[in-house]
Amino acid sequence: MTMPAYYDFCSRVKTISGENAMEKIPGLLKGLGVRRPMIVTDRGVEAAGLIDTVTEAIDGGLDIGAIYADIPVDSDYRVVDDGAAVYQNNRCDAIIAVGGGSVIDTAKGINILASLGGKSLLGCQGAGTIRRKLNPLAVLPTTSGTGSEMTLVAVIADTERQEKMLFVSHFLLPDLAVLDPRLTRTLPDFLTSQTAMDALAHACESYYCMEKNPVSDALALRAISLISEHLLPAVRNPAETSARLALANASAMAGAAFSNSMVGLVHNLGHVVGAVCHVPHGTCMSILLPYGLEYNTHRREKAIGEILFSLAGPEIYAKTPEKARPDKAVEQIRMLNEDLHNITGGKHPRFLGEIRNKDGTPAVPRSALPEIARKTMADGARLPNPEEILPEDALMVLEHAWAGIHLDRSRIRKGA
Amino acid sequence: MNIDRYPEIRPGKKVFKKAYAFVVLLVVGRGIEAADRVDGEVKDIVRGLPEGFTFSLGVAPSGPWMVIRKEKSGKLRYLGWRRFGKTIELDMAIRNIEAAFRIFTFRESTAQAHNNGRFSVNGNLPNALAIMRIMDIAEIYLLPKIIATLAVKRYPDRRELPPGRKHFNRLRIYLRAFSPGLFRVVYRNL
Amino acid sequence: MQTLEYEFIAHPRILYGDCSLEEIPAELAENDACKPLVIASREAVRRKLGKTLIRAFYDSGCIIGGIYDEVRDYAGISLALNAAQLFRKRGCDAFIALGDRAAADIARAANILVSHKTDTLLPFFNGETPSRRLMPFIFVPTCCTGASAAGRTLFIDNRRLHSDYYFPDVVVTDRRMSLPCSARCAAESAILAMDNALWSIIDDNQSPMKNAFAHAALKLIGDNLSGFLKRPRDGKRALPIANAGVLASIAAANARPGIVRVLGEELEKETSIPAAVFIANLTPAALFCIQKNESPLPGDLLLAAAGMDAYAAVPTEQLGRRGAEAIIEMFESAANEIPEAAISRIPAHLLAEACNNAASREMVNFGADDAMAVLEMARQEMPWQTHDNGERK
Repeated sequence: MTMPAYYDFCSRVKTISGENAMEKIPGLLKGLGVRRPMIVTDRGVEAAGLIDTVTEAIDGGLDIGAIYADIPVDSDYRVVDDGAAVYQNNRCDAIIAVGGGSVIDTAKGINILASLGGKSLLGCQGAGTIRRKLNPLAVLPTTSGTGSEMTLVAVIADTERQEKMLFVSHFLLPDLAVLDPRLTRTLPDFLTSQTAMDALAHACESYYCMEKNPVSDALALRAISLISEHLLPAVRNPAETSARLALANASAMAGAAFSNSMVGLVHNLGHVVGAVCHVPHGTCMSILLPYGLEYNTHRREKAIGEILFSLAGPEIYAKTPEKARPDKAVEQIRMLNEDLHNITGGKHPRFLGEIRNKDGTPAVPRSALPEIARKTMADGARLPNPEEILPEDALMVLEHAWAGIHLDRSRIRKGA
Repeated sequence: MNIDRYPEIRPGKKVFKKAYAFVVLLVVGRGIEAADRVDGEVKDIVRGLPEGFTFSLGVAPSGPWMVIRKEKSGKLRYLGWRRFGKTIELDMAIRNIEAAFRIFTFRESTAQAHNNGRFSVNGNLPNALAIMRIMDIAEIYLLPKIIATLAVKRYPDRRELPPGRKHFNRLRIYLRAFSPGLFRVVYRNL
Repeated sequence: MQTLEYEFIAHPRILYGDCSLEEIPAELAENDACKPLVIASREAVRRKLGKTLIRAFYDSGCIIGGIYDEVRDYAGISLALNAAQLFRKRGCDAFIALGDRAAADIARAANILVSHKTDTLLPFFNGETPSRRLMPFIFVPTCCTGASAAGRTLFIDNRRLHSDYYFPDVVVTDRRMSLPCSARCAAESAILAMDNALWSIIDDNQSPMKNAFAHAALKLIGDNLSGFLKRPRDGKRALPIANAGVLASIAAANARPGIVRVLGEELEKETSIPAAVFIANLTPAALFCIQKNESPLPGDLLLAAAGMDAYAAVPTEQLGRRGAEAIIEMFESAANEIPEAAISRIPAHLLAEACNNAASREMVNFGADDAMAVLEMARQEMPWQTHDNGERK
């Protein structure tokens, strides 16, 4: 293990995992002094009946102050302001967030405003605003991918200024993350596959990016093992509780790993493809992940080779010569994508050119690639990537990912 | 208990390291201003910044600093080391003087330092990334290759930056950075 | 297959390596604090580590409220009361513990006293949990920390209190602070860290997060131990080992205490011989007892101690045994630097008392008989190194 000259690691989220994890929420929240939590969720989660499951599980233990389910897919600061007003009007003292990345980020935003006081989140911007513990926040993720339950970031849109407000503080780490397979039981197969590939991308990128450290490495490798072992069973058979719990665990561990080691090329390109072409994040991750490994192999050959150990198991790792391990790891991920494509009846795309809008038109036209490449310079994920990413590099990778062909390594600029 | 046995301690100052950081920031500030007049990529990046955009880079909490603004002419201008009276839209601060000294003695590259959380950034992230790229380019021109390879993630090879162009631009940047304008800005800040 | 029923928390923020000491003022600022009280062990101040800490505050804008350096080996409530009084009179807003376990425990206790505005810990001894809003607490371990100071236990006046709120908020491992003071200190630190990591992995709670911390710790020790024991003051080796101590203590805080650790501590009480000496001698015996009872040892041990290539080359059924061998080898190399425990010379009644006391400790999952079996095994001449047929493994 190469020890970095410096690293910092923080993941102070109490994690509760198990088939009855939700039943532990009342006791743990009471230990945090909570009496009257507000449940924050979205209409989709509510319609899937998950809020009933949650309230049943915590029934009697806590007095639910309010259920705020008005979080749209494109949540923004006004939703946060609205949610905080509901929180204050109902004299709540904690938040239980039930949902995916958007719900969790909005809940973090509501918690900032509700804890620090004020009428609007706009007044809470700026470095150093959050300098004390916020009110307790419990997160119940309903997808196994974003890892938001373990991150210290909240991204809230400001639609008027067309900007994203970024809040970063260790006080934004939730107090509790509850991993219970009942929360992901309604997730369709193609969403299970895409979100899990998002978690795999978090784990792999955290293992080779510039902030890698011994703790994030250990978490990442375990997350990769869990995903490679349980993803296909969970997609094939959503009723398989243990597989879904394993994916929830993998997602949380990958979240803790990447929250500390950060992510690189895959997220750099993926964020922009998502923003420009409105492609789901998980789809971008699953397509771009092999390219992230290929692009960085010359800088991180050993680390990327080690990913193979968790991805394919010790037997294949031992059989593969050291030099060939990075390529084998890439091949394993491509095979996984291919399998997921077949199992989901083609709903899990394998390359950018294959993604279709609802009306059947290409979601990522080839003509959009130069614009995407240019915009990657404005995304923070380019910094932790081991190899420099300039627009020409991004375009080269995007062209390969669009066509679904292996990266031509001779075109990677390696510097003097 | 006699609490006077455990006196309050007011830590001192690291004068040499602050002076060194001051000089480096002055050179980098002038170098960035010069690079904007010489290098095509820097010009492109600056074009994307809003007019009047002012940013500062320095060492928290008590400096030294450098302040640069995009003028009406569309060019960057190094305004010196005083932040008072200026509206700073992007504030990039190295968290302590010891970390700044590591970065400015090239023991830690700018990218690694950012990844190590040595910088605290207050302002718009895309603009911060643009400034970091400009700083990388300025470092490639200002520093000899052996040192610049420690400071940047990828030192451009011959195809990316032909030697002729590199050396010609380097000369122009040095001449501009240490032109009489330097004395003018120093005088204005005194 | 792994069971995924668990609770896990790793509260401390870990700062490791170059310039991490200088991060403390910014860390305090993020917690809205600017005037810490430093609680330091006498030994740390004697080694001028207090001055190094002060230098890290140069140009930071922070004032140090004082350096309370009365802490020796024992953490008692009177010291905590004095520290709390100093904290209040100086108007401090954070604690920094500099030194070993006792310094950290005094800081924890004083933190409760000032945060709860009280002069007694009695309610907490009687089961009251501390408030969520304690003052920021930064721990800078030096050497001889006992390898569990970064955990969730407050050990004061020989009583143990457990709570997630006793975790330090930040643990700083810096080359200027965390190098061992002697070869023996180095060996003891490594032994205690290995013990924490080992029993965290063996623990019946198989949380993958806890195992990741323990794995990282064992791997750091495996990679650096031999070089570290040869040159204990070489920062390149010593600092990862110190870091492993922090990670292992976080893992151990999420697991039941291991039989060897508890027994070692109880024997220390009876004989005044440091627990690490017993741990080094008892661990091989304890691992042999586990194997003798046909309980499978997790393959993770081999993976962590010897790495992926060694793990991948071993057949599945041998993973546990080979892992135990790798671990025993590590313990033995560290044990060479410290005196032998000579368990056979300790009077039988003291051994029995230690076993009974160990079995009656909180959260343990073994009985006095199990502890005695480990001691009996340790008395025999290295039985763990031979197969039943006498062959060396």
